[in-house]
Amino acid sequence: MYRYVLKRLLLLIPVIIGVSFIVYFIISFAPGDPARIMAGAEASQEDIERIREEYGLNDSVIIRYVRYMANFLQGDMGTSYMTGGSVFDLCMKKLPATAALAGVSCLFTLVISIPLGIYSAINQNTWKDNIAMVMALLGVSIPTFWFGLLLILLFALRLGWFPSGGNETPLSIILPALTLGINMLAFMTRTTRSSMLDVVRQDYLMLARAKGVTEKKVISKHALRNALIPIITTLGLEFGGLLGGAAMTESVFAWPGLGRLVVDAINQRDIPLVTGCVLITTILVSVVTLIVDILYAFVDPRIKAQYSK
Amino acid sequence: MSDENLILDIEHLSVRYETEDGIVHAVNDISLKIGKRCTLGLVGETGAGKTTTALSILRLVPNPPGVVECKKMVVDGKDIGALTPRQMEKIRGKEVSMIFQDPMTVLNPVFTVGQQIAETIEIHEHLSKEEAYEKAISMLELVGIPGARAGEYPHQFSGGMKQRVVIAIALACNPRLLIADEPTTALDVTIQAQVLELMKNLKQQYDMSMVLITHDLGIVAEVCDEVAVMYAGRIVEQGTLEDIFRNTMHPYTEGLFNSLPNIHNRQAELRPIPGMMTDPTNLPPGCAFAPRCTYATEACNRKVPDLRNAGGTHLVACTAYDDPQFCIDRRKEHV
Amino acid sequence: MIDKTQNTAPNKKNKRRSISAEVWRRLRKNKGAMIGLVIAVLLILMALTAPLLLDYKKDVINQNISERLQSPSLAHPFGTDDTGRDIMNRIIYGSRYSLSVGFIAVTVSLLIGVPLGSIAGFYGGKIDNFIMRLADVFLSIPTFLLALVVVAAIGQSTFNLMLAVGVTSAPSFIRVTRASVLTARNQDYVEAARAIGVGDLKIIFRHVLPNSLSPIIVQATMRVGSAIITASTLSFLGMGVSPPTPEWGAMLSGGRKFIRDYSYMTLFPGMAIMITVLALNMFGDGLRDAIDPRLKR
Repeated sequence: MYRYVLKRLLLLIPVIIGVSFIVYFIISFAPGDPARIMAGAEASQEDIERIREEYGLNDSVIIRYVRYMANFLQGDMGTSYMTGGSVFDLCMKKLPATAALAGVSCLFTLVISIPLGIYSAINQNTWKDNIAMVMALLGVSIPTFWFGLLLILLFALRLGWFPSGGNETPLSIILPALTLGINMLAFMTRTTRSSMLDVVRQDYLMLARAKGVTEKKVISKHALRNALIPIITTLGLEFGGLLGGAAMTESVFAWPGLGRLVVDAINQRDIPLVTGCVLITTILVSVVTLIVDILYAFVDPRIKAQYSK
Repeated sequence: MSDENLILDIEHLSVRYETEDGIVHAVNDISLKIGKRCTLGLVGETGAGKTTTALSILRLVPNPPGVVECKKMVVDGKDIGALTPRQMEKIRGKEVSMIFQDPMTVLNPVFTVGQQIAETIEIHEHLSKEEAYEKAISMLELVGIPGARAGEYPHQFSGGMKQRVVIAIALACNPRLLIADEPTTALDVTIQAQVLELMKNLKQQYDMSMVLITHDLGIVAEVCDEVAVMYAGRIVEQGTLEDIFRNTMHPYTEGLFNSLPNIHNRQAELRPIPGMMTDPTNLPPGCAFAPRCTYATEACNRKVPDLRNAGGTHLVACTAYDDPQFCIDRRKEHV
Repeated sequence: MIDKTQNTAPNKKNKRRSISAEVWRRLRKNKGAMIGLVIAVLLILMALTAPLLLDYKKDVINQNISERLQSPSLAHPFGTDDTGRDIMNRIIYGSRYSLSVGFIAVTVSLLIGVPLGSIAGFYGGKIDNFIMRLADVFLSIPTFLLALVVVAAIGQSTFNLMLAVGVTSAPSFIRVTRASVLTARNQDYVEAARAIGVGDLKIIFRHVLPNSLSPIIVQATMRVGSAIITASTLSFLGMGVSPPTPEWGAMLSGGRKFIRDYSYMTLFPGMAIMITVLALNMFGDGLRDAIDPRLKR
């Protein structure tokens, strides 16, 4: 089992290298001259050239990338053009807010979609199921940022129950988390439903009934354990989308997290900051995916056995 | 047979499945009586309605789309039709147990075999979790699997061993009636023999009655006391082992025997039953076997023949026997 | 033996034609899918005929301060925005941008993803490994962030938007195509074809590709919707189209300042996006169910 975890952790490294290179490479095409930006508006041509030499900006992309990664390993991700501070520190400061947002979204998903999906599957093709599926379809089709705006309109501006932005009160997280998670919530409801429907027609449920297991337990114990396997997998896969959408949700709700930082950084052409944010976000996603994979191995004994040998 | 000596008493059971493509008449008005400590072989081809009959006894016919109509269904004195779902759950696994056909799909992949056996015990007997697990281990040993393997998962066992686990689950609470639905069909021939041997021994040990569903006459000869032959959801011939094997009367049963390759006469041609099993959504008004029967006459197509007494314990449903001189070829060879 | 091959070829074509007829028949029975299809077709028609109905300079981008911020009325069914432009006109004309970005982005994804996925699936081995590693790396980056970064790098324009969204969805097409091709390649009929000496290329085009198309088609249909959402989100953040383009996401961005008192500016463009994506998703769902009824519940 530990070997499996170790192997997966090691696999993380080439992924990080690959991602960082791709991000660095793409961003290097961005318009705007970093030297000029750093030098300031009144700087002379010589100053700009000097800065260029100093920061090694005349070297090729590959060399600059390698230098970047070497620094990264030491925890140095460069300096932000905007604030002049360490990119690493800036990102780490904002990371908890985004993680909290994503976490609450996942919580909403677990608490709403899974029960709703199971309920739908058990009542397949009844009006209850149909309504739930229509709502899920709407949830999957709605543009998240528009949903956020609507939530603000209704619950913040008109009803005043929640703040319309920022992170001041504990209630502040509700609307953004709901917005961030709406697509995933709807998608997971559908996934749960189809996973349950798959399991419900399995022969081993017939045996459970023939043993005298109550119908409730047949579903909650025998069926659910099996249905959860693909559900957990899907949750893990969708988490990445969640962190990606954070950029937009945080902008709508002025939530002080990594996502808003990225958007601001892009607007300011703050290349080190953009690179740093994207890299850290990607690492976070990879770590979560790894955790989900390990969880998956625990829940499905067939996988566990494969790696225990 | 007096009622106290009956373990299973079914009268006029019919089951149909109402699907989008039509109504499937799976079981059509069958009646069965099985005595205590008796083993009945329920024989027929795939689609004859055997499994549905078995499921009806446990009230496990999926509904929808299944619709069960039964005048009388009594198991060990209990009227199955009148029981509440709770009461029914108490009977399943305790008074009546079932062994299913395909051991590969019938065990839950995420629980250990020990847990799955222990679950039955926990439900029906008032034992603690540890005691139930202990008993589960002894059940494993009983079916020939080392108790140490109780902590393993189904996918770690071969087909034959999985079936043994299924048997262990079925027998864990000493059922009075065991329904075995083609327990060896999915297994290799050598494993088949082992499992059959195991079942024969357990039958003795547990002093229980059994319904053995199969299409294999060889197995019937090994294990059963009585036989009922089903075709298109009806019983066409019924009797003791002697009656069926030595005094075969129904043309379908004769066809089943003829289909067996003759080991003594390797040169002989195989004699399959011509045609195909009737479409259960479109049953003919007369005898369902008539289109394939070599003895069929016009009278056969007019109405469904009743199951009539042909001497002692032997029952047969064939219009041809209206003529007292009628005799099928197999009979002629033996006479 | 060879004659038999000649005889099966036209039969296979007939079979394939009747498979699409069969799919269409099942699709027609699905009310949701048909509604989705009708709405999608209407939207496409609207997008195509918009220049005939509206004059871009006069109706769509002409600012008319005297008419600004008017609530919905008969003259302006969806109201006017903060520079006096009729919102309904802008939404109608905006459909051209949203829809074209969606379809072209998916086309870009297909052009990149299908060939790469086919090669990976068909040949396997090192090529497969390399392509899949590459796809995996791209897939680890949250799609939206990647699109954001790409747009930031190559500059803001409608075309670049299509490119960015297309490139970032491509990896999932590589995956789907590869899985599909892999399954088809392992089928017995491919081995049979090989056994009677059919060449590689013919196998790919005649046997493997046609049978792997269904998941790809379903994925493509679903992706148009998400491409439209991604594009409008980027425009909402100011990363997509440039003003005064009447793209729906950009319109929502413009209306944001006025959300408190002029909420209609937020309502209608968002509704337009949602209806479009909803129609596409309903159709996509129905298509998936029609192609593989086994998946249907």
